[in-house]
Amino acid sequence: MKYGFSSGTRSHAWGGSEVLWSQLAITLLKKGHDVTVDYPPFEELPGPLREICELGGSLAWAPPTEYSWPQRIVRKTKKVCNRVLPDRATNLVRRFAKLERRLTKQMRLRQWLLAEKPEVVLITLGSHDVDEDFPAICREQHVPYVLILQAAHRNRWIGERKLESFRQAYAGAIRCYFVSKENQEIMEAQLGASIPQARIIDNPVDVPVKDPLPWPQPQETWRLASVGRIHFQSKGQDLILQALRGDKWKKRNLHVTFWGQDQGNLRQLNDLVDLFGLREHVSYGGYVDNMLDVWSTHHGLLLASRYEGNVLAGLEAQVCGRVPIVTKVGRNGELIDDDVTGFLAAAPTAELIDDALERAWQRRHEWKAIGQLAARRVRKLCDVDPCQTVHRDLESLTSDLAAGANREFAGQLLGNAA
Amino acid sequence: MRFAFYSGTRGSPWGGSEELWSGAALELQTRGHSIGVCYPRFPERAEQLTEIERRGGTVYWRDRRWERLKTAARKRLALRGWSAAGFHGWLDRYAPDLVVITWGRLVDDLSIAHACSARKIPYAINLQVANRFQWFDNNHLRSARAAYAAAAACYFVSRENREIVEDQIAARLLQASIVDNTFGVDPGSSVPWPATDDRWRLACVARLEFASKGQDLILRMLRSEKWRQRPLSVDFYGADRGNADQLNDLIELHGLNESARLAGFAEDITAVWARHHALLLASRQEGNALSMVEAMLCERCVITTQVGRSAELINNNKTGFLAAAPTVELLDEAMERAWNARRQWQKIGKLAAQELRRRYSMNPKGDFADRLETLAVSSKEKSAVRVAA
Repeated sequence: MKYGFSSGTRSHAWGGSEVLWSQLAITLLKKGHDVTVDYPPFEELPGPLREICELGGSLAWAPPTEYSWPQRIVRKTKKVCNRVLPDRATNLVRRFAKLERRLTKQMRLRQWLLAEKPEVVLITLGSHDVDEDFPAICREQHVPYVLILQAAHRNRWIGERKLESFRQAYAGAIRCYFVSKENQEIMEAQLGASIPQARIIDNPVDVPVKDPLPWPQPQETWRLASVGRIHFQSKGQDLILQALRGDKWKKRNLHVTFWGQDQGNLRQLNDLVDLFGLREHVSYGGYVDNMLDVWSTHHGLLLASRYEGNVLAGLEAQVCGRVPIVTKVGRNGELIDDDVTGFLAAAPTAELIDDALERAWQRRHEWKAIGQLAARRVRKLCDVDPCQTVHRDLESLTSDLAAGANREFAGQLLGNAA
Repeated sequence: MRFAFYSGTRGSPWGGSEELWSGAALELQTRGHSIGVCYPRFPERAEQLTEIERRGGTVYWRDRRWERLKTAARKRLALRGWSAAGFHGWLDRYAPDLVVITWGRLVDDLSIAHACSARKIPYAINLQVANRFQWFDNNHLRSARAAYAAAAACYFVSRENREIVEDQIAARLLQASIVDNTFGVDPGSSVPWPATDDRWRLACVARLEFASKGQDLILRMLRSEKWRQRPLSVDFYGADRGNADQLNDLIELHGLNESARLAGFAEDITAVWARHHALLLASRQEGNALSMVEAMLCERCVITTQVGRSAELINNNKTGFLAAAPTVELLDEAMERAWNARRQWQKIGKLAAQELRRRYSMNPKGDFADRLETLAVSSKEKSAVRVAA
């Protein structure tokens, strides 16, 4: 069987949303299936993609310097316009460039589908309101497709103009995977329709540990790690700073380290730390590849996400036996038993985070035990091998499709394509 | 004195954010001041603008067709550290003593503020709503901080909004203060209490825009068996801003026809409150919701989320019911408290009106005009001292 994988990532070369599909691709290759991957061009080829290639998968990927002819025209025009007509043409060029990006992507996807001829395509979406084009191309080419949505939220809504194409994208999929029940509900509200072919799947945990890590010593300061890209809109680091600015927290021997790549708010983070006088209690650790280094020196995770799917940092912290103090978004509410295996803030607000952190602080001497319980619980609640589960599900779906038994989905697919 | 008003509106010809400045402008005209307004040109002309012109004011129309292009260019210039002084030529033609900038949202085109700074014209910022969902990024931070820091005054419509902006620009705004927003009902009027024989009627008065007004949360809450069994209904009033289809489809999908209804845009808000017992508002972001202030003045119980000014004006469980945040669970929890006290709603509404009349300006436009007058005088004195020195 030949499986196709397409990722919608745009802003960064690799992220949490790419882990599930890439590991699934590797699993399928190891089982003897063919895999073809369509990935947007970035400066460097991410490690897992290299592994897919080494295992025999084909990859439609070009480094960004190899510009297509429309890209070359746009870049040249942009340069000229910037010099000559800064006040009017820049915006036109920007809009043209956006259209060009979209068309180029569509063209690339069509070419990939025609050249590689995958029997089923798995499309990973990093957010609920992007990339409705590709499902339409799959329907046009009569290729069955599966959607994997990695994050959804209610702060941005699909407008009327695009509502119908998103509805068709979801209705035409043979399977829609969500990484949390909450995300499925949000998507159903966004579409104003139910998604009967929806399933919840787990994200794979990417830390090689079987037991909780040794508890960090010494314990003069309680150290929390906030692991997530520095992007206030999604990861809510501003709320943590708001919560910590009170005198109560300044008197306590608690230290929070922010780990993650800057995605536009690092300057604000640093300036707010100074403004609130939090230099002694807060630091920025940068981006780390090996999360075990972080969890071996920190006692817990503090994450104030405004929205999530199923956050990998949360899973990893729990697997390593670290207490999670997080907002009740995405899968957190399903995986964490409040006050038992972690501490949940009911919503992403500074007050509710302060409340959750206070409850956690009062029981700080139990963090080790809570972390160990969380490690056991998360292993029980989460699928240890989600790739295997998805593979089995895909096999039954595709065999149904081939046998014509699943007429409902096939009918939807063909109906929408028509 | 010569006052200039700049409105940053782009999407609709007139909105709630325009009421305060336009009311203050008309008030200042009656006090003998000269008014200039810079406003985008829409096919429909708001009657307030016509009235300002009729009283001798000047309106400088911005051409919306070029607005987006100009905005892009200004932002680009700002990012490269170039001055935006060349834009906003109307400032040179009108030569105001004070410019009052009103923004209906946090914006990244701050060129009007920089243009005033470059011309050494004192300006005040009135921000009508702020949220933590859109952030100035590293590139725009310095420009935003400079725009707010150089303002002679920053008027926010809630303490929460002020805090959000201070976090956004990572700086304290010592010249910031809170102003009361306007309302569209007679503050002295008493709206008769509707009968409660068949069901409790709630109104959600807000434009149909899930991202800001959170109507989706109300529908999600009403889906549960508990609320289906209770004699309660919610009417959604407001103009469509992109989500009316979803609202209708969700009502159909979840079989909520009996408990939820789309009621359209209401011109006469008093008539709405004559038929409803309480306001249910699940906003994700607010400045100071006019519909909340109006419902309270009409002696109606308010059930809303703790965003914008609501926490300052509502004493939770005494003069209304607050959900700690805009989530289905917390809204359900607040509604449950309200439902258990439903026989008290009339009393709670009366108390809310009394409290509000005590704590809130009953003449917000006039009070805002007073503040602007004082600010213009003090700014002029300061610049005179600078010149003399």
